[in-house]
Amino acid sequence: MKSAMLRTALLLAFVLAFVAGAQEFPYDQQQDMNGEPDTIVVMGSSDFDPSTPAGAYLQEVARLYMEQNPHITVQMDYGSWGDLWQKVGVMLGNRQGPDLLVGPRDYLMANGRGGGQWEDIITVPEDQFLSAEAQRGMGPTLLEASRFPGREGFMVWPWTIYIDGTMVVNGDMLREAGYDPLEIQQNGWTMEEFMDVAKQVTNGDQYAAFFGPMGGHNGERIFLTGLLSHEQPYRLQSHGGGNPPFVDIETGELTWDQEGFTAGCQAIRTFIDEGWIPENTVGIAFDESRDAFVTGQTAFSFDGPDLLNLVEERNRAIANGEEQGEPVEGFVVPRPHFSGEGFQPVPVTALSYGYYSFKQEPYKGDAHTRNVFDFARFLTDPVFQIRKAADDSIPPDARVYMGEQSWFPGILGTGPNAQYLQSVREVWQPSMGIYITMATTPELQAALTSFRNEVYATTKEEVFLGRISCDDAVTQIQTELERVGEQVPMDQRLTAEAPAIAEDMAAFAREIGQPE
Amino acid sequence: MATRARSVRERQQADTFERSEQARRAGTIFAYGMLSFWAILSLVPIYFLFIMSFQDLGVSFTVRDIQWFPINPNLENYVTLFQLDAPYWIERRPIWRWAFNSGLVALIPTISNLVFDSAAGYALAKMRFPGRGLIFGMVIATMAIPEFITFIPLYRMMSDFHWMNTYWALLFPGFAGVAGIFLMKQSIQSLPSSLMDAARIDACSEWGIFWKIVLPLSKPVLAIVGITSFMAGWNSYFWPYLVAQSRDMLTLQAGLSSMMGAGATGLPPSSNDLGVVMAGAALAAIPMIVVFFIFQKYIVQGITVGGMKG
Amino acid sequence: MGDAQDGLGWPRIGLPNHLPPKEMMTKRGFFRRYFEDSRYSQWRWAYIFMSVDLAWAGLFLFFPLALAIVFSFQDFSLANIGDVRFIGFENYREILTDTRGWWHSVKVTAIWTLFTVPVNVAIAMGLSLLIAPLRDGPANFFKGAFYLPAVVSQVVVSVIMVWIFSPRSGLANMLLQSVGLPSQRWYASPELALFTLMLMAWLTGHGFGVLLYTAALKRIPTSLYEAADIDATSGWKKFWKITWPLIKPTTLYVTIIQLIASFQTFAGAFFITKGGPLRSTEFVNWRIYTAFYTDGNFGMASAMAVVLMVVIMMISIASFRLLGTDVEY
Repeated sequence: MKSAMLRTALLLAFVLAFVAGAQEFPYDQQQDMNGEPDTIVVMGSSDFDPSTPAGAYLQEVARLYMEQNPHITVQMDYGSWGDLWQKVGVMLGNRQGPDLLVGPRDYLMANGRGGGQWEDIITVPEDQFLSAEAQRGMGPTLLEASRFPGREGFMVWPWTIYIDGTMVVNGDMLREAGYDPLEIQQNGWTMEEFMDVAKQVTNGDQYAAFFGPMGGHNGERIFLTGLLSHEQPYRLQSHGGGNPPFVDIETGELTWDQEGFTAGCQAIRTFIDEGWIPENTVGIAFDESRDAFVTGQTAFSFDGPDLLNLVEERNRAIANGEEQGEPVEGFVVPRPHFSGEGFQPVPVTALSYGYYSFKQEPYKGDAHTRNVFDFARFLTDPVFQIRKAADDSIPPDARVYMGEQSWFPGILGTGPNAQYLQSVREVWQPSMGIYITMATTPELQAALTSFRNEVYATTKEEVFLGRISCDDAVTQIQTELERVGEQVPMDQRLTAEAPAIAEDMAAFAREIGQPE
Repeated sequence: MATRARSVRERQQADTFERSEQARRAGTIFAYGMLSFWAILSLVPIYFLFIMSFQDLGVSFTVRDIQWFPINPNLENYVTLFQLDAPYWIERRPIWRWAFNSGLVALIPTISNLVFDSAAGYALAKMRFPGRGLIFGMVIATMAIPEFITFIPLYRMMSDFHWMNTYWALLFPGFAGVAGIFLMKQSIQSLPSSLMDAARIDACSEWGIFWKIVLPLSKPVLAIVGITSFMAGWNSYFWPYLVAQSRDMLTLQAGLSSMMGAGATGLPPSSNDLGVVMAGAALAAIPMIVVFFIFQKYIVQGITVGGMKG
Repeated sequence: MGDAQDGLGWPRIGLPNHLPPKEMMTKRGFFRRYFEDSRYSQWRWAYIFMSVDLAWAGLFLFFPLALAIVFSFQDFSLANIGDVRFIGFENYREILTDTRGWWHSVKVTAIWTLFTVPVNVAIAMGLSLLIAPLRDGPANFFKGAFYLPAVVSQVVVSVIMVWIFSPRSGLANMLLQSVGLPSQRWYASPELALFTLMLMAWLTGHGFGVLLYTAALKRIPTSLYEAADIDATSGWKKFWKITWPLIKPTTLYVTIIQLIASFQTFAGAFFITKGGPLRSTEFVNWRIYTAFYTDGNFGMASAMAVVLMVVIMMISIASFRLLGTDVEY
């Protein structure tokens, strides 16, 4: 009987296996109507998750496209943020990247990721895929931010911008401390004012100005204000993520902004020493510190404006009686800057988010590439989106989310936050980290990457934990940087492109009014 | 031996008996105390999983709402998970399809592992043949390398076979479980060879020995192989996600994982609703709990049927 | 019997001993004899038994593994994906001379292994010894309780663990305060982070070991214990004389599985500490993971993985030698 059971089980297994094989998803089996059947694979994080309004909208757009082009199958492949990038890595490792990938440029090509994936990202001449109206609609800054100045674009289609260099504050707490959030939004504020608020709002265990810095998140960004607001030649400024480039691409010297570092370092130490950042929050999970702002336990967060979505969401839940607590009025404001000689307001950096395509091996053919780009255009067409919004077929939340008027889900209505973000559009700068990476050799990149991970990041953590003074931190970083210099001799640091890139950046700095 | 010696021994035995009675009672209390303590610790995550699945946690991936007892427990998360009241423009999650896929991914490799791993384990444990050490070394080596290192060649293989987005890619790589081979080998090795030699003398074929002697004696271990490979299949999520291109080919765990949104890495758009994920995880846990108890029956049965009493 | 009883079962290329005798090679009817001779018939049967698994594992496990080893000799990364080339032992040289990176993570992993593997094996064994004399009902309950956490996904467990060990107001700190101890910073403290992860490993995740041990303990004939009872052997002695030798194969298996798992430990760093603070939880596998996924440096990651593999293999051999005497009853 036992063997009969096992035999049955075995049989069942194989039957199931064959049934399973026959159940193959109808891939590439569309009937040809006015073109060769083709499949476009689009990958993204939760962008395409139909359980979110935005994802549902995009799914709807894809369905519409498939209706209009019956020979094309669009597959929207989404996963969680971490899973997505793992999958993309494996796919690119086989040179079989997805047809379209939606994501931020700085993440796709970050220093930590080798900085070199741009090699396989398809370069698209601007006028080939962007009509004149589209360019007007997207706004010049958006376009600028999605490509390197003076170079061909790398993004098939820009879509959304995220910005770095702003922060969010709790309006009520600020008013209590005698500051007007709207005024700060307009005119910015200095580190002294920021610290004054911090001092006033901190109230034992109940309220703190801020929750713990560590591991590149949130609190660490008080530290970065030093580097970001210190005036430096544009090529030496800390862009995007806020780490110094550590190399001068004009001369090949390894150098960094010690003064800016020290200013930021002392600021964060003050915050911890004074208890404005409670000591037991140094190193807490990122979510917990985000959450502290949303629930009104802290006055500031150096998060992006998108945090206000969570604030909104919670306020709505409180209004509906689903959650208890006081609603929080959040404002997005410029980050504080140092007021001394040689310091300037923190420039807002734009991080562009859009669709990328990759070189294929084997090449899937021109027709396929055309289809891919055609779909990308369809998916992101602002004119199309406005029309869709007008006839009410886009759900209200998604409407706010999509299109050139609406980079920040939910918050860009008509209020002061929206106005501020609108004004920020005129002044933001593209994040230039990758541009600098492109001027350096793989040897130097590798040496600097491990230097950043093993020395720079660790030293900062030592500062947060109070293990080391700011002066010692500077010495430690400088000593180790010199060691990197010994490791990679001067003539092996820069690529042949470096002088041209340096020149480009100088020209760009002139254009945006930054020191050259 | 002499009578005197025997009486001493009897007295000793009586002493031991009394002492051991007390010791046994104390020991039992100690055992129950210790086991309960550890069991409570082990069950804490499961407890909170279920608690959180009945609670509204909001969209922020956060810990603020973890409570000992749920405030206003409700089924909202489960409703959202199945999107029972989804608006027309929201596509419903193919959650039953995911569950079906998970079932296949768990069940089929489990069956194949039970049959083939035990055969291979038997060969490695009780037979001598050239290449045995090499094969066993390869088995250990495969276990010793982090799984993701092999993903690049495996992905290429699946795409070269045109298996992307099919059940073949989902199922086939799981068919040979090296962990199962190793476990079966270790277990079968401790079966007495005399049993097998006796069977050989009775002109029993090698297949007969395996089928009639080795397998019945290995029931408890087979049950463990079954539990672990079922669980590994059911819980696997990155491989299914890697080889799937459409929603329909995901497994339950991969689908749940894809609902986690941007999550802790923080870049928007983050849309994760931890409560819904918890509800999904709670539902996904139930089949495994059932399977565990089914297999566990065989672990216990193994001793009564095993007939190994010396 | 003796012939099939190689307890070590470890790489010992059996070929020379197993070639058919010389005279057989020259005589007619070689194949007939060959298959009739039970020793060689065993070869055949062994290969038949392993055929399916070998074919499958060969294709989906050994072959990718071999390719990964090939990658480890290449300059293969996303940064130069169009120009992958062989660079000999360059990756290995770089790894082994990287004292601050690689050797640091080796140190962390070694400490982790030293403190988790023996303790976890002991805990699993101890729990099983406590479960063994119980009646079926409670025994099943406890086995279930220890095993069930494995059914919950790692993500969910780590969310809960982060909450329990939160430096601010976690469950662990609440417990400490209730007995009058100062609260701790747990995973946020460079001194305690590794210990916190160890604590998580000690407290949960014994289900698999307990299942194996209880199955092994149940297979020990009760007659052996009865005999020992008559001899009035103490409990401790009974354990060392009867139980320990008889569960040795299980111990060996659990130890090696634990060793592999602990050298590849990753979840804690991935979900909770991200290798920090002050790199105190930067495990080898976390390093490999970041090299692979974050840096996209597949060649380097493969080389690290191969080094890790060799280390695990060596330690496994040592364990086989140490615990590997074969036992039957």
